[in-house]
Amino acid sequence: MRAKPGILLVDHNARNVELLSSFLREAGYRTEPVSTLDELDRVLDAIRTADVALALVDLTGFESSVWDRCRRLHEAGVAFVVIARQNVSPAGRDLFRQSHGAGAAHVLTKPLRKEQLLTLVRILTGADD
Amino acid sequence: MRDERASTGIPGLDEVLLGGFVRNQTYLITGPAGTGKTTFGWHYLTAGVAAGEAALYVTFSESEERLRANARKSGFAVDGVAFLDLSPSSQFFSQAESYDIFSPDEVERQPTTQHLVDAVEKVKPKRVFIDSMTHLRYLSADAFQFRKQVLSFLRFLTDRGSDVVFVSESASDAVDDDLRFLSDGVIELSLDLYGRSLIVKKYRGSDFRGMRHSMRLSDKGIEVFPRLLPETHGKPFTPDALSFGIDELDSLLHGGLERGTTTILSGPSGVGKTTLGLQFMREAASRGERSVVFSFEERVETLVQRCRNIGIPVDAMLERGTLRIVLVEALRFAPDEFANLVRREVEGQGARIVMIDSVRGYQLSVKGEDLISHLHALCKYLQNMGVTTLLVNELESINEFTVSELGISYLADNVVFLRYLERTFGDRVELRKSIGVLKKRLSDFEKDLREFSITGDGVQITNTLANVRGILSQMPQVYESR
Repeated sequence: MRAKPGILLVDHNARNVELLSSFLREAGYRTEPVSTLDELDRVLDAIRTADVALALVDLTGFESSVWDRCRRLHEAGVAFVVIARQNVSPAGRDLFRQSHGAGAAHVLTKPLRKEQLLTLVRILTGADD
Repeated sequence: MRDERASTGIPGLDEVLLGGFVRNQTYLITGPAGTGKTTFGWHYLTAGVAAGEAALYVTFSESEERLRANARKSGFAVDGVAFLDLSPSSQFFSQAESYDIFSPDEVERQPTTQHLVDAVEKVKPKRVFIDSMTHLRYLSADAFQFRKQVLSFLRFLTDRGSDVVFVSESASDAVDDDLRFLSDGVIELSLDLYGRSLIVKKYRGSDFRGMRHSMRLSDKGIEVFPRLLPETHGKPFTPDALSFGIDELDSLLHGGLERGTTTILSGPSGVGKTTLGLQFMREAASRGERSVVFSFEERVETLVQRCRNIGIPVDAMLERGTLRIVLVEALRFAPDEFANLVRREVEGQGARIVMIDSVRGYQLSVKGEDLISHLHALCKYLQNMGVTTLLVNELESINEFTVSELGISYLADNVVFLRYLERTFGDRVELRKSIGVLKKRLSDFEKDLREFSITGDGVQITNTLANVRGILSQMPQVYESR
């Protein structure tokens, strides 16, 4: 059986990282959690698409420079999903434009439904082929 | 055959539920914060432990340590109660345990369910108390899921032979209607301007006393005072005429006051109503009967001293138990609670004469509720129990003749009125007192007015007053020449 690809988890909240990681590992994925932009930079410096097929980036708690890292993920050929709090403000509506502008494959709002997340992860990693 | 019942452990509540909770059912205890839901649970669980049953407390809010400590302060024997503590620890706050990536129902429902299953399998409880079921609402994706989960959880418990009492935190912005439908019984606790009370709203498979009942929540726990239902009480007795021990007064009454009747002693302040009642009790004591004065106004010491001053052997009566004087703080007692106090005296101590001094004081304890219906129930109860009741009724009006300004005269079998009397001797006027009988249901009575006085030798009643005018005024007058 082909091993499932790795997923980079970017989330400022340690408990969120733990929950995401646990859930995806149970589904058979390898996960690489990072919770600061410095950690993310180090990962990006050494990233290989063979190791990381997808990144889940939770914007909550990060400064706007997180978008630069998103663009780097896109440039490195790593598909990424932007995760944000549900927000109906103009800034919230702007989120979709910014996300797609940075190359996001999808935008999800919290709280995520596990089933929906897993389906999306399978599609984006090609694991359901 | 009567179904098996489980005592709630709350004094008075089993009477409301006609014996306690029906076994193997589920009961919702609802009410705003501070109404005694947790204390209810302790009563329920510790009563089970005392009966040799396994009991499990499931807490989602307060910690086990805190709950046990508070319960111990109230005197609950908490050691035999098993605990499942699902409350958040302090680490949840200090160690960044919060999350928002998934909803709580996706993260916590499964482990919570597992904890519950494990605890139930381990403890095998006969009684389960869940504080509170409202918490499970946050672990459900929607109302439908919540309903299904609660139903399934309750069935899981009852299938294993448990009786379940669970709490919900009702508030105007968080109604618990769905939980009411899911339970076999609903008890609402409330606190308002008139005090604490409890009402059974639903009770599947059994009759119950449906009206609102007063309750007290103190550092000793909960006590419920069931609304008095006179028709459920009774005792055989003969309505003998009971003497006042004063020939002239007994003549007025054609023998005295019959046992099991209610008498209003009506008159203005200071005229001698209480003293007359105490004289009746003195005579009862000589027959070895116990009397109780519920004094809403006068201190016990004052009443005792008054008795001593007029030669009533109050000390001996108190010592022998033929008299008890109970000072009632009207604002502290709800009417149901007062009725319970009276019942204890009648059913527990065998009191045969009860004097309520005064109706005006009793009215304060009713606190805006219907005075007449409460007093009616109390008097009917006393009547059914063969207790002779004296209601001291103070009049304020001095312009017209009334029995009572409180609309209670219909309650009375007998009305004895005391009035001040103007006695004119030529150009001199003296203030005296008079006594008469206005109503007597069980016998005829003399219609005359007699002079009444209180001396160091007790109550004195003279012969019939002649030349009296204005009996139906508040102050009759006697005209005679010297």
